[in-house]
Amino acid sequence: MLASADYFDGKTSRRHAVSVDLSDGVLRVTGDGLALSVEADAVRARSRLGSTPLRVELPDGGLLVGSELAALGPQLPAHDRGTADRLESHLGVVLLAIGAVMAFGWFAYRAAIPWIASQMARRFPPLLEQELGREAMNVLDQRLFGSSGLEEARQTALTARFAEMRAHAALPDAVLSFREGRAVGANAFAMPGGTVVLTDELAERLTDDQITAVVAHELGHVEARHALRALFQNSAVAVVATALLGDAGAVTLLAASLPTLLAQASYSRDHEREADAFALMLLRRADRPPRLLGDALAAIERIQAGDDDGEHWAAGPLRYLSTHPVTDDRIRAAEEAAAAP
Amino acid sequence: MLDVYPFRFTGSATEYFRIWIVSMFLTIVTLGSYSAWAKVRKRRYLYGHTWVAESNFDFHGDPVAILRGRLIAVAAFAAYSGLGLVAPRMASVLLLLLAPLGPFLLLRSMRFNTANSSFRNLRFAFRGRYRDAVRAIGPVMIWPLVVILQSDVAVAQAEAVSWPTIGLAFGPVLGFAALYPYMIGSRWRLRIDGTAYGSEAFRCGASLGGFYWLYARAVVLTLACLLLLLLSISGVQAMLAGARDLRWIFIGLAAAWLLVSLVPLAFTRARAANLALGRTRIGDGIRIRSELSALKLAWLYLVNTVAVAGSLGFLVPWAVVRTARYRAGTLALAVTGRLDDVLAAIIQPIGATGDELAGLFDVDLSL
Repeated sequence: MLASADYFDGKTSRRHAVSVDLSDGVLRVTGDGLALSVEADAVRARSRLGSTPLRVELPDGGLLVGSELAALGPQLPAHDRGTADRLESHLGVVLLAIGAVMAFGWFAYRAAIPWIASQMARRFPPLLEQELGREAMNVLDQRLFGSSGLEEARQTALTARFAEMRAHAALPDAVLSFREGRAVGANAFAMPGGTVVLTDELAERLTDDQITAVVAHELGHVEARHALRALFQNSAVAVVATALLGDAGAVTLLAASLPTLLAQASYSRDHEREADAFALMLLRRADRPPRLLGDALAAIERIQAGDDDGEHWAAGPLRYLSTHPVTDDRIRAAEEAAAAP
Repeated sequence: MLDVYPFRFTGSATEYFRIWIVSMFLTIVTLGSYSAWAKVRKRRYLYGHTWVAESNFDFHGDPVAILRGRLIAVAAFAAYSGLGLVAPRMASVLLLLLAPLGPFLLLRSMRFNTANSSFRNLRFAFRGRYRDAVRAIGPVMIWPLVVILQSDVAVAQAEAVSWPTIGLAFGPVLGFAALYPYMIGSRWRLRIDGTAYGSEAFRCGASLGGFYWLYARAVVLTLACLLLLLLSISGVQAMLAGARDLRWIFIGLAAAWLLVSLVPLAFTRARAANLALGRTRIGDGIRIRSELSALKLAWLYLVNTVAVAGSLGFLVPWAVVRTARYRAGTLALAVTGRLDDVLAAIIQPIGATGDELAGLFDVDLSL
């Protein structure tokens, strides 16, 4: 069995075109002024790797390289095709691998990462969380917010409503803060550690009842420690996406960002739905009409849409990038829950 | 008499996909341990399909060294993140204290990758120096110090907008930008000047001035791209007369971001590689030719990004093979005299195996 190959002696870089013969357990290399004989037992063949030419290492440091050597391969006692190569060549394994990777990805995204995040959030020291919230609040106060211009009487009234909701939620450490929203506009949100911020712009446009529903929703975020969970989840997704797609080289960061954004946005939508459900529960406990949530959402939608009837930017396929579920769906869910006994 | 030997890449996307997907599957099943073996295997495939002068390359890295490197990196990252949550200031200080380690790790990583690469059964060697590594990575290491200083002073001076405040706000960014070409040029030179093939040393003749000129043009290019996109976005808006349709603005912004990220990136990478490699001599008789086209590379990046993002990662192997094929096609060796004669003069220096001991501390951190 004669195979043509290249021989490199390992002492110079000269390429010798040779013929290789394997018979009677002896490997014979001839050509270009060379005549070598080596025991077949003494050579080592590198594991097969796709269609790369086979490499056979000789005991004196020489190397044979050639695709035709593959024909000799099975006869070489030291030859081993390698488990990896066997797996990679098997179509069934490849299909299984594709399915398993997709399943794993889905499982990690839907179940594993959120679960780990909520476990970590649960064990996170509350004092530390409050510290985080305070730091964040400081930054926002310096860069974004102004001090509230809401009249005392209104602040007192809303704080009373907040206290009522807080009591039903068993969250004695939650605090309501008033701010002038400025660039943020009409909005409310929950900081890590339990501070709920309400902007003047929102307080001025909604009724006391509607604000009650809004703070109930925000308390839902506080109870579930969504801010902290989001921090863990979003970091995890970014790290996993970059790790899996690291091969892509120069464009890894860019290419990984779309799946990361989609995942983060969907986690955010999940949190919003959870907070909505919590709000409905709180309203019921407080003997207040659950439809207040739907009212508040509709009112906020009107404020944000402004005066024109433009379609919301996150309609159609772009809604997968939205951090909130479509408002109509939220209102419908709230109304259905309100109608149920 | 000059002979030109072009590089060639012969790998196929479907074959590489098999290796890639099975590697990922095994990595998941082994909770990440197999990733080191996967990396070696993938690199052997890409090297094995890279040909010049009728011979291909090989990679001999020890997966255990890679695994060690990854475990260290994961531990360091976890420690840094944890510290960042608990005491953000401490995290930056820690980075600063560990800064001298950075150039050392960079050298080790380059050495690992170079010393484990071979062509025609002769290994490459790496002998980069610490001070060159400091030049190549220094600005990035002192960045944390600057960030700490800046945020502290900015908080204290929030109300007073004065020259010191503005200086502190923009100074670090401008300073980093000014040092960036120096850093990139130094990195290329460290990589090339430190490399040897057998007894022949590589020498990079590119000057740092060349890199500054390159980046100056890149800045102009970036501004031009931004301007172009601002104009096109407002043009599109005018077309949708009046309707404050946020969807188009959003899509426009996404396209803008993609364009402004990719075009200057492709430009700097292509031109920097051409500059550094094009001035490289190996021994006396061999030069490298690099003819990457910024435009073709930008297009390559764009298609890769869209394909990888759109396929949620499954087209990564296709993107890798495409890129490898293009880059190989722009590379060549220019040899005076006969190639075999020239290379035959390269003798494997005795004592190269003395590196084995040093290899015990080898750690590959390129992840």
